[in-house]
Amino acid sequence: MKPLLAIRGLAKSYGAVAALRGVDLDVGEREFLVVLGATGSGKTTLLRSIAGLLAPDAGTIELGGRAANALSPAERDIAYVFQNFSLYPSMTVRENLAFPLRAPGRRLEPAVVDERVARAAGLLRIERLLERPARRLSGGEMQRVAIGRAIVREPRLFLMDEPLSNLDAKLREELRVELAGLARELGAPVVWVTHDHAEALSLADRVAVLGDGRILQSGTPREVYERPADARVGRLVGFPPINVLAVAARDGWWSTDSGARIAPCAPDVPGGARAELGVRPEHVALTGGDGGARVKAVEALGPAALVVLDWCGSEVRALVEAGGPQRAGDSVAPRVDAALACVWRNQPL
Amino acid sequence: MTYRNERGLTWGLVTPALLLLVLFNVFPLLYNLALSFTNAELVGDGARFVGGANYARVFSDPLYSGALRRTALFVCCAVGLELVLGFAFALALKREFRGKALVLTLALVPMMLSPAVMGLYWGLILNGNYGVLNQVLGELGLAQPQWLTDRGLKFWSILLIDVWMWTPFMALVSLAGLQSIPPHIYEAAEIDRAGAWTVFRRITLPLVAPLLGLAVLLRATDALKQFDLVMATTGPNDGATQTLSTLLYQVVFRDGKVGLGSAYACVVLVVVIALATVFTRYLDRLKGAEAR
Repeated sequence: MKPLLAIRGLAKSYGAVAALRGVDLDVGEREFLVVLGATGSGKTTLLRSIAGLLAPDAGTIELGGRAANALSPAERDIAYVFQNFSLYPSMTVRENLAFPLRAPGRRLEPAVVDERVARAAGLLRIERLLERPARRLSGGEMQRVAIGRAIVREPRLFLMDEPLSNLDAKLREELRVELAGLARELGAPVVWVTHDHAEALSLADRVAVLGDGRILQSGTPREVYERPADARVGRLVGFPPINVLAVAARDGWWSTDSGARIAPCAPDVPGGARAELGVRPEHVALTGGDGGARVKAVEALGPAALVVLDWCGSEVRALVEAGGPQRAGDSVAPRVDAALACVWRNQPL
Repeated sequence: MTYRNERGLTWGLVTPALLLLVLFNVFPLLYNLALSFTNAELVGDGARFVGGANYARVFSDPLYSGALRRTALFVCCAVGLELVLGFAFALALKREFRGKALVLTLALVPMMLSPAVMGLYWGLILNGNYGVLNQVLGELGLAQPQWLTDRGLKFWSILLIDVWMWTPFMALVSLAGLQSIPPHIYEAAEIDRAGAWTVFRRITLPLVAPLLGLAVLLRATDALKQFDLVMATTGPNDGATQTLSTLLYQVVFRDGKVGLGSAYACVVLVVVIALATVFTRYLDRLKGAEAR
């Protein structure tokens, strides 16, 4: 199937600073794609280029099989939800929702406008806010209205620029769950940009990790979480963060330079080969007795506890069940589930 | 500090300002009110109480009604033109271009100069016989109107000077308002396919309106007391350009009729207070809409 959105070699610089250095990306007809990246990784630049708010320096953007580089934002028929809501402050919620439907050239019957506004308001549960001026809404309400304003248009693509990042944690969680359901219900393609890995893992059909102006990895949330392509991707996804250790193959083990044997290595790895080892904290098991590691601290996280280890001079975190026997100062024997560890070879730290 | 001392301190701090206020505002106001019921003159004494005679004369005096009409016309036309032109300039100045800083600095110049001096300069420029403007017009083979002596023209000439002086002020205030609108709102409108006129009417205008209202209030109160330009160009006793302020000046200081002038002043004061109330209500309402 031909993708709805196809991006090839997209590049954009601001003066000497390159924000995007050749991004290739496809979005399918009904796909929920989350672009995950750290602050300053070029996420917003990518989204603004897709929307047509920004002209890229190089590369092509195709929408529905048609070259879209030269199209204005209006002609691209996409909806954009901004991080800072961007409601029209002097209008009521109803007027905000109806605004895109009253655009010249749309020629919608007033009854159709009313119906679509009512439907969007119902989906987002903002019916009681309809007559209120937009400037008198709370942050969460504003973002609901902003999303509603995107929905009413029935665009061919939704672009969401960190739509939840200006909300407090509780509201973010709530709205995230709700939007995931809404996206499935509407079945519309979404490009959602965020730096929050939880959003990426919970919302996405597919996650594209953006770093250094390129797509570092693209795959299902599971793939990205379990098999990150490199340490940068690994660090960006998951909490508590992944352990990244510089190791070398010695006597059939991946060992740190200080001598900690982390995990057995495959038989075909030549001795002395260097690699980075990515180990998720939940894949480190702890048993009692002297195994060369010392507990530096134990941090209770509610359902689990994070144990910070000094493993022959390397700091390693292990996620264990809450209420375990480990105390600071204890000696423990950590064991890494080798099948779940990621080995990134020939990559500098 | 004890309560007593604190009260003492409060009064101690407020009293000087209060005394000055009474001395220079309240007393003259009341004195003016008292004078308006007498036939006091600038020279000579023996002012007699004449009841409402001065007021009766104010309302039947064609000079007064003429000056009132002229002043109202001046305020409406000058402030209206300054608003429209200033806003148009601001829209042009909103985008970045080479030499923008220089243009903005130059725009400030007319405001920085004394209106009386500007009046004198413009008097030279607009002089019908040796003025620069008419010389240029003559060179171009165009008509050379008597800008400041033609009965039908001189009022508009003064109005033009005022517009020249104060349009930059309106432009700067408008520009400040325009630049305070977050650009992402315009981007949202662009994606929503809004037309240019809709964007202007539904987004730009409502967002700068409060600031423009304030600028109009400031300019209107200022234009209402228009004095300097008229004095410097045609003098206070010109039937075609006499404003309320210059009429007052003429009556009190040239004709010496202090009692009558005081009655004029009282009526003007009522008009100004009424106008100021309307404007402050308007601003309060905007503020209220913002806060709610």
